[in-house]
Amino acid sequence: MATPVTFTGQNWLITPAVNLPGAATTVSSAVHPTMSADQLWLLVLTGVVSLSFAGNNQQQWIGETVTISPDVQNPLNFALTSHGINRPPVAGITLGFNLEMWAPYAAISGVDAPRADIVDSGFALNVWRPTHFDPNLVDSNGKPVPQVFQGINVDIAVRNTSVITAISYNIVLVGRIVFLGKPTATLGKKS
Amino acid sequence: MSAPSQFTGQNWLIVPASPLSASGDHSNQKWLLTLTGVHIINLHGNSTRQDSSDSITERVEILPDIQSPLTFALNTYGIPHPGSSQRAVPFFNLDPGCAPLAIVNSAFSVVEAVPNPRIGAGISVDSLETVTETATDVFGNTVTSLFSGVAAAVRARNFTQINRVSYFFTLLGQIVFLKE
Repeated sequence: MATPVTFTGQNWLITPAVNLPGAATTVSSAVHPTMSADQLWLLVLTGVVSLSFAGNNQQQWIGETVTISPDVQNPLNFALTSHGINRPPVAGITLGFNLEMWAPYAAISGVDAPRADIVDSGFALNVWRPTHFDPNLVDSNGKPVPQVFQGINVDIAVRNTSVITAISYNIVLVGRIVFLGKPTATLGKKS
Repeated sequence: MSAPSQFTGQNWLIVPASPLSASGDHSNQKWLLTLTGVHIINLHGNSTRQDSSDSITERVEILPDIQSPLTFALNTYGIPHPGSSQRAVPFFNLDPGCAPLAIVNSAFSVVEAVPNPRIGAGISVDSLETVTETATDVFGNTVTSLFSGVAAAVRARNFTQINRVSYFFTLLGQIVFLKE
């Protein structure tokens, strides 16, 4: 069973990144007069999650994969609002961040050893990776957006009776803001 | 003693830190390079003393791959490369300032054979030092801050064993070309 995590703090930062050469500039001027749909953004997500992952085997490591899925709606909405970018007429709109590059980081920031007499104990954070992308996602125009950020998976382990109680993360992403949802013009139409 | 670099995972991200020159002259182009990952080490404390000063410290050089992100940036942003005829390899020349971070990410105590099991344990990364080199680029210019890696002073107390150090380096600098 996956160990649940609770966010004890979340921070974010988002700023336009320098666009790729030849990026399309054909986006509707109703969306933004100067920024294109291909606008790249640099998004940094940091924070701490609390959890309780306890060992229960003497002289054995047990492992677990924890999924950390920080909120991206707030920073993406902030970016749109602060740069005056209009949302397309989409019903039930949610925003996604379709990735070009990613550099996540996570570290164990809380460990308990509840029994002082048990000294053969330990903790580990072995590796991380992006949570699986949903390859079937499309944006409001029906264009595939196959690398929408879903979070990161972190492989942790404990030995003996150690308990991992907190993980810190710092996730740096470069990508594009995409609008997920159905265009209002097509809503209600019968096929 | 420096341990060789081994990783369970490496990630990178690179973006221009200033607008790309429209004139095609990219010699002063700044880049923001982020390198993250988990570095494998094998550091064993070997003391039974309860004195916290009696610990073992190792200088661990974390040397991530930088060729991949630099080559990606050159290709993606269409930056001219001196070419294979000059056998030029891209390197990263740092601006003043570097923001490295490294944390012990795996440790355990091995004390079954120790008569006194209450001797305590401890781990730390005590210091981080950016390792740079000086060289001459393919155009004959001297480059004085070539990023090589980061040296972390990792400390284990008593019978603690450290297995992993995770890192997060944020670097600002320019891409330069050296002879292979």
